[in-house]
Amino acid sequence: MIIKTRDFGEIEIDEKEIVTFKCPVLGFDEFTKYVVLIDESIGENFGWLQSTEESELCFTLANPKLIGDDYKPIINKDFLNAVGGSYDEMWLVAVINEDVSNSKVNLKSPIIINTKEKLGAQAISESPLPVRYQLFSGKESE
Amino acid sequence: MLVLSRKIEESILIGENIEIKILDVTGDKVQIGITAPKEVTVLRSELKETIEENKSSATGASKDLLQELFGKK
Repeated sequence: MIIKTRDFGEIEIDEKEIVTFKCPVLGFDEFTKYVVLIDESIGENFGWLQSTEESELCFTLANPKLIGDDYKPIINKDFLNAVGGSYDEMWLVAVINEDVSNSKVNLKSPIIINTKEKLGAQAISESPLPVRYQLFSGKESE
Repeated sequence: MLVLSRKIEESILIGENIEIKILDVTGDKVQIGITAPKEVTVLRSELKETIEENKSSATGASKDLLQELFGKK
């Protein structure tokens, strides 16, 4: 099917790629269907969570690998149940600015996705993690 | 900030139609019951920050900016 996106114009997607969010992205409770988009020129470090219901609704995502192996947020079973028991893909909601050193990611409430069941959620972790974490620790990227 | 002490089963009234009741205290956790009209948003405070960041993310960097900042050259 063709969907309209905020940044990529109209694109062709397989309906099977659509992820249903039983626990919606907080503050956007009416929207439950999204696709994760990646751009080849940027690679897997960043992506977009594009709503398939509202073309202008699109969140910037950052790959948790950018934080390091120590990032292991505790996700309780209510959120795990919302994605069918377990998740195999995780993204962080990111706020990227032109002033890159000021870019932040939300470590407290990651986006978790079960790619087999195509279920997703914004899970609020039990761990005491920051909602606004400086992605580049004050250092500028090249 | 107004600071009050309450015992279990006691409550606090806010405005005309909001009630906060202490239901249980176990260890370091307090179970609180909130009665409010449905147009009043009731949230754990850490959720409010997440909502603000979600909104910033949705109005933030476009693909062009990300390509400029992180794209392979």
